Amino acid sequence: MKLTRMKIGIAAVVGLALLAMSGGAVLGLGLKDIVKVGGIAYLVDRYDSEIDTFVSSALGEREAAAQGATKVVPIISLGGGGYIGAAQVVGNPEQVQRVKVVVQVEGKFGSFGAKVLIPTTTSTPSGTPDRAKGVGVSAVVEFQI
Amino acid sequence: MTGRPGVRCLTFLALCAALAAAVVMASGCGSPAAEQESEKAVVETTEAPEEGAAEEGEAAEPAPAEGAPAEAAAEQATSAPAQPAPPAGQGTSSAGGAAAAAAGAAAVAASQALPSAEEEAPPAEAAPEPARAEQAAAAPPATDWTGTAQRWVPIFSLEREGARVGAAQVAGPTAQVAKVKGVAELRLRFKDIGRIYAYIPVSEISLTRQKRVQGVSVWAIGDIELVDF
Repeated sequence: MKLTRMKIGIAAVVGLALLAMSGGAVLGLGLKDIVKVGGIAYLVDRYDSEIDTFVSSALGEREAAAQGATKVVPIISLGGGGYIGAAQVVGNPEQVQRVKVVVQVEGKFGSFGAKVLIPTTTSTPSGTPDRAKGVGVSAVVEFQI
Repeated sequence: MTGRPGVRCLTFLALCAALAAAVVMASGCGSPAAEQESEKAVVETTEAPEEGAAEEGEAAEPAPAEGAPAEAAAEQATSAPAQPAPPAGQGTSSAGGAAAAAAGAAAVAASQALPSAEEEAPPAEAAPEPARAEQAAAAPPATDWTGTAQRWVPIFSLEREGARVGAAQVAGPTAQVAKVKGVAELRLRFKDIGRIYAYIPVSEISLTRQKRVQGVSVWAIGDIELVDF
């Protein structure tokens, strides 16, 4: 299982690197960005359950664990279109199971910048994200790649 | 009757009691009349020897004379509450009366034990419903995750870095959102490959203890840029 995931991750990184060499410049994405996006996808796929357990146990030690189901999913930037991190979502167990990604929408209003995190049920959101009702974000993961 | 293990067991016990009574009477404890009655009862197994047992009908089993088996028979009779045991006075008034009546009652009880158990079975099956209702009443109310209210509250860090200027929009049931005073930010490191920011909606701002408000979660995070480097 681990070997399969690793193969998928390596294939994703190599594929994205080839894409960067061929057409990445056209899209305005650098090699670093594409490798980073592929790496985040791999890391989320590889460590999702571990991160979920880690965050839940850390909150549980502080008696601040959330009731309901939790799950770690990748964060997709709606403007950038790629994986930029991961998020632990929490909420209604039925709805949490449906969540595929968290869409991040950034906005800036003068000196106030805001990031809206929308748990969605589709992995490739286009247009208006299909928000999962009764689900929110409990933690945000920034990968250091 | 022959196909029911419980009935067969109780019938066997009644027969044993009758045989034991016959042995006791043969050793000289009983009167001659009682002995004759008891022997007749043992031979004619289908005949009810006494009034109390005769009233019980066809299922009555042979009866012993007075003596120890009366207790066992009485226990068997009490194990089946459907049929009351005959009065003690009747049994003791004649030789072998008590034991015979008790054994007869035990036999009748044995024949009716299964139906009475079947009658009691439906309440036993119906019991889980009230039990579930009690459990549901005793269990804490389920968290309502359907959010109807949103609110911006300050974010404060639980680390040594101190307070950070920030805000978070929390959402959830109106009553729960009203309890939220702020969002505690907890920074964690995961295997040197990631930094985790956990957001805890709390009902009081404290760096030592976080009282999480359940059913509320973070929807948006905002930062105020005070100094532009």
